[in-house]
Amino acid sequence: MTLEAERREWHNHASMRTKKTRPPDLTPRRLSFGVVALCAAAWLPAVSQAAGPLADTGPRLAYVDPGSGSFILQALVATLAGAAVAINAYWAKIKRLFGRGTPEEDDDARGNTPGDD
Amino acid sequence: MTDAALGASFRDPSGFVFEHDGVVYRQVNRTYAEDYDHLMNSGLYAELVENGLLLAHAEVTSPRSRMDEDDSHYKTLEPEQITFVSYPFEWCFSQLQDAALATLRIAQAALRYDMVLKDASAYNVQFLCGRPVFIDTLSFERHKEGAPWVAYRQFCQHFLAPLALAAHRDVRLLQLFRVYMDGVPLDLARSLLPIRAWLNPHLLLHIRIHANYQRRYEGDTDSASKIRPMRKQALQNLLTALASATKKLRWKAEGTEWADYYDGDSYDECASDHKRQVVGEFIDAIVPSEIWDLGANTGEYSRIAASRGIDTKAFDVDPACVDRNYVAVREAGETQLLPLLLDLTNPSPSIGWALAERDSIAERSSADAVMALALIHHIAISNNVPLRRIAEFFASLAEHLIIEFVPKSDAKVAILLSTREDIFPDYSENGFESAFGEVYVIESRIPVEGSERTLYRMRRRATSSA
Repeated sequence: MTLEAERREWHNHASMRTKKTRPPDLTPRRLSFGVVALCAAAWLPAVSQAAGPLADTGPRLAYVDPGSGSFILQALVATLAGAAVAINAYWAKIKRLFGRGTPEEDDDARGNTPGDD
Repeated sequence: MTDAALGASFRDPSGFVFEHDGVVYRQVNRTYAEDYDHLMNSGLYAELVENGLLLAHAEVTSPRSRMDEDDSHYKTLEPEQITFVSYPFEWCFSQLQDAALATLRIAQAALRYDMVLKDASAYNVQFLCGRPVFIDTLSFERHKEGAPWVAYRQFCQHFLAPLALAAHRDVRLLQLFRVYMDGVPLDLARSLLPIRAWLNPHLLLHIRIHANYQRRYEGDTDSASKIRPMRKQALQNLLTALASATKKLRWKAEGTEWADYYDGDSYDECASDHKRQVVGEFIDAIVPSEIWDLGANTGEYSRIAASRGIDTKAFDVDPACVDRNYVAVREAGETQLLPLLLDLTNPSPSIGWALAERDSIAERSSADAVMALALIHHIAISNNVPLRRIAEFFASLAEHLIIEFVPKSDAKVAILLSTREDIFPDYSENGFESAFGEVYVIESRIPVEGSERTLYRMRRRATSSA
């Protein structure tokens, strides 16, 4: 049975019910391209450091400032985050182009309270 | 002595907190004047207070603190008074997560008003009326073009690392806060998190690579030149990424010993109804303004007090119970109930510099009444604490006590005794009454109908006040 036929059959079945619910999403599980890309990109610096600090759990030196690394890393994090947003936006556009766009699933709704942006 | 700086208030040069005649004030120092004025005049303060994210304050002309030796005074603030502070190691997963999200929302709002949040300490958040509120008014400074977020590391240590550990390893690791006052060191989080945690790109970046960067650049005298200037949009992206990382972490409150307790069979419905009724009558007889329910489970009996408008703290040792309770509070918008995690056999100690930065749980008590329902057998039998000592500890917390005695014949006690030798000859109703009678006056005694348990209302003897 093709996906389309399955979907039609479900619709026929659903029409017999009084309460109308959304048909099941029979397309393969939506893969967020941005997340995959971000995942891949995020691994790059990890791989580049594999030789050194990955295995390290030694004690800290007494005169060091742990802040520098945090400051230096931020530029990378911000760039990746910006890229993920851009890629997701394009991905959504492409999907809409092929009529596969679904209303954006509000993944971030949990924990938000009124006034959240 | 007219005032005293509070123990935790010495790190920030922008000002400090002091107490005068029982009221807590905050001094703003001259060095912080421009940042403070920007906070107040830009509209940021108003927006945050309106959204319930920041503690409101009033500017007052007096008093002046005696701590102000070098005349650095700019303003004195009288913040909305907080009667009780809780600490991150007393929070459940959802509380820490909500505190993290509140902190990020504040940081995002600050950026819109051209300011940055310079502290992302979990200790700056308190749960007031059931919601997380940021209490440190002096944590805002004007944004300097190109500067990275100064509190990024602190946010990861105080929020992201413990939440990730709870979600991916074990919820009990939230207790690391008790040892590490400045949050979980990222290299420790890196070594404790399982490999699958690194499939999450957020955790990979903010914890693993972050820890690696710390190691790589520590002691690098040239590291300042490697810090790239960040545009405001980049800062926004960073905050958005952290919010997304925080929201994606999940911990499900189930599978622990107590979370399903009320679904079990310890009380039949009639006994439970009678118990509720008696507890309500006892509370009405005491009329406390604050009550601590010890061993509160998911807060079924705490709500008898909270629904009467009494400020109620519901303590439990089980992270799942506290989480369920907190989520219920949040979903129903309850304002009088604060669920907190506490192991009575090893309660929160005083910690920090000179043991004065964070007070022990006993030092923080302002309760009039303690409630200990279906608890005594756990302390006396499971933990071998003599009844007299239990009475003394409860008496050190509050004047009034509502307590339930669970006899050896009770099914629950039988379970506790089934695998151990009965070395508790004094554990009987008589033994209980005589031990507690030395510390308390027993004012009322009502057997719970349909059970072998007894409820007592007691009042601390004047001589034994701790």
